[in-house]
Amino acid sequence: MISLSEVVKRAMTGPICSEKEFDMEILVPEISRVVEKYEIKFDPQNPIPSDDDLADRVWKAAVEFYTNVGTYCTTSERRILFSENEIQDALACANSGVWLGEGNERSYLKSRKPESTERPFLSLGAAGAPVSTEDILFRVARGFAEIPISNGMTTPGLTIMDGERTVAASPMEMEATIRNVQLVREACRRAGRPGLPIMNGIATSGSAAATIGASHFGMRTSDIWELGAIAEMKVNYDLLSKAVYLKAWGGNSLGENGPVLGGWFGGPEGLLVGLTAYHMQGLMVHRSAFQHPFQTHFKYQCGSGRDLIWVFSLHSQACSRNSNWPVLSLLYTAGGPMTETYFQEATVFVLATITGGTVIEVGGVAKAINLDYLTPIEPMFAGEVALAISSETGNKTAMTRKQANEIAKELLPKYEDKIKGDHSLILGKKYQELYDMETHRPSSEYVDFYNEMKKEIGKMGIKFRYNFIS
Amino acid sequence: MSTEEIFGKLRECIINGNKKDLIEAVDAGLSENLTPLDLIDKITDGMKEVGEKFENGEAFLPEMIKAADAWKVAVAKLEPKLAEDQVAQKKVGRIVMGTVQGDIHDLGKNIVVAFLKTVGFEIMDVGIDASPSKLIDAAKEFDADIIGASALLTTTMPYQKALIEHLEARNLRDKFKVIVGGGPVNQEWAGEIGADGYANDAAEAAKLCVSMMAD
Repeated sequence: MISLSEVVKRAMTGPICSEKEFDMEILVPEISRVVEKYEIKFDPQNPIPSDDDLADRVWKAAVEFYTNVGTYCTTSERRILFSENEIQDALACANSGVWLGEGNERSYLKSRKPESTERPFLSLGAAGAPVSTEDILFRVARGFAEIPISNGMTTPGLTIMDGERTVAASPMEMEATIRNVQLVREACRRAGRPGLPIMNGIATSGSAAATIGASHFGMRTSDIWELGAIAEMKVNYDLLSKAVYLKAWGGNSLGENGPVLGGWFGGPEGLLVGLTAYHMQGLMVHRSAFQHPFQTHFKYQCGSGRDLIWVFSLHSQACSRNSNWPVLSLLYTAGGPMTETYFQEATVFVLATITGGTVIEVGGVAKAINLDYLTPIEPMFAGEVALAISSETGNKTAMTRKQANEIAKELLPKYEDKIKGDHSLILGKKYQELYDMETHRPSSEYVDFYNEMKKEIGKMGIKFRYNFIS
Repeated sequence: MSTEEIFGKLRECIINGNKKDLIEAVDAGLSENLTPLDLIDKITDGMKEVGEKFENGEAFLPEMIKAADAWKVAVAKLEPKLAEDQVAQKKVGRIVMGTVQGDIHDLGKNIVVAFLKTVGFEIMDVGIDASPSKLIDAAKEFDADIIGASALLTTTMPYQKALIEHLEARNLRDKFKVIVGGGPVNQEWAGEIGADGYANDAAEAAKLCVSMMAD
């Protein structure tokens, strides 16, 4: 594979163009062209398609798109371009997985194939959702670490420190990042899982300085750092500096991309191709261990609508059928803790991605923008769905995409209007309202609700194996 | 071309973002003795239609920007004619928009900018990572009515507060209205920091700014 130093060189010497030229004259026309050429069309009647040929056309469109468009560096105002041969070489050399964590918690995040019976890696946590105090952060993180089926944890975001709002790009950011890592590491130890990998100990938005500084306060090379693209198909010197540092230190990163439906890629078809092209950018430019997509809707700020579920499903299929480099898909839900909407959204997301051949991260509850609207029950439930439809169904066969599609079609109408409506109606309740602050146990009200939701969703054909809370 | 055909062409060209044909339609309108104001009204109607399509998921950011760019070219051509006729174009207002310091997310801000253009605002977009001083200096230079500050991260929201504090420190708070927005921002935060308005999405932002100018 082409070296990172060569990527940096191309960022500094590639063809010059303004950002607007890149957006409007290069990216936008090319995405429209390949969508039309490869006849990619959103089908709302089948949110989880079983069309292998369509998945492969999406892949071809993405390779062609990335070859012609490349990645834009906003710092140098230059394009980083690769030939198709270089892209194919990189894909051929890509690792099919990565070892994460230590000791008993060491596990392999591995690429899967559609309808695979292989147990998926489960990263269960907060996905950076904000919390109000260090105390809540610690409690929630400990709860995440105690989820017995998890293989990794994403932490909440410490946005208030000593009563003051943390400010980005300030000395407070550095201190908050250090505390975040230390608190979560200790939370894992208290949960009896000191080796559990932290998947986002240092937030994507953290500067290269914060990434490097906080790395010396408990982050391990068996954890993961976040390297997030700038929308769309862009990086800057800060991201490349993090990539250079992590490569030298032996740390792993996730190649993060959160494209917006309605943005530069346009509608669901363009978004699908763009998201698939990010697979190559993450591998070649971010130099990450796997792709980490989390697309959202421009207006509803979540990824669970019918159009985005279709994108999740086909992106998973396109990548897993054509590349060995893994994908860890992440959903941002609109529904919050103890809402029917959350449980329905999470189920449909897991159906789309796990049958499509990716592994999952679950967190990002209630759009991840409201303080303390998260508990360990939400990601645990999603993990249980993932296990139920992959390796651990009663007859040892995985759920098919066709079966998943039927369940999705039943569930989507139950929540589609709600995610477009007044968010306060589906925000749910805060951690403090749902968990006992002395015992760290969920309230009986939430346990009953959780069991009721499992029963209801189980009737649709999902055979849950476990019951961790009674 | 009949007047109706010209108006139809103007609408179609704006919706498709077709600058070349739009200018031809504008020329055709002028040669048919239609007034510059009539022509601007029609292309502005087309812009509003693009905004509606965006709201309904039938058009996306690229279409909005193409339409706004075409609108700008047509208006630039018509403005000298307005001056010749000594007719003042209806100006809705001027807004300086930016993503706050420490934040490089600009997609939501770009959508809001495109939407504001569809309802006739003149915009100076100062881009990302905009410090309070950058936003304020731009507003003074542009003679803006409103400053819009976008933040996608909970950790960059404090820079929206800093903008208000800088305006107060420079005795400029009364000169500009301030609107705030972005994923984690809400009405409660806008009230807490003393902003003049908050909008949940681009369409709401456009309505908010129009209502602010009417006050």
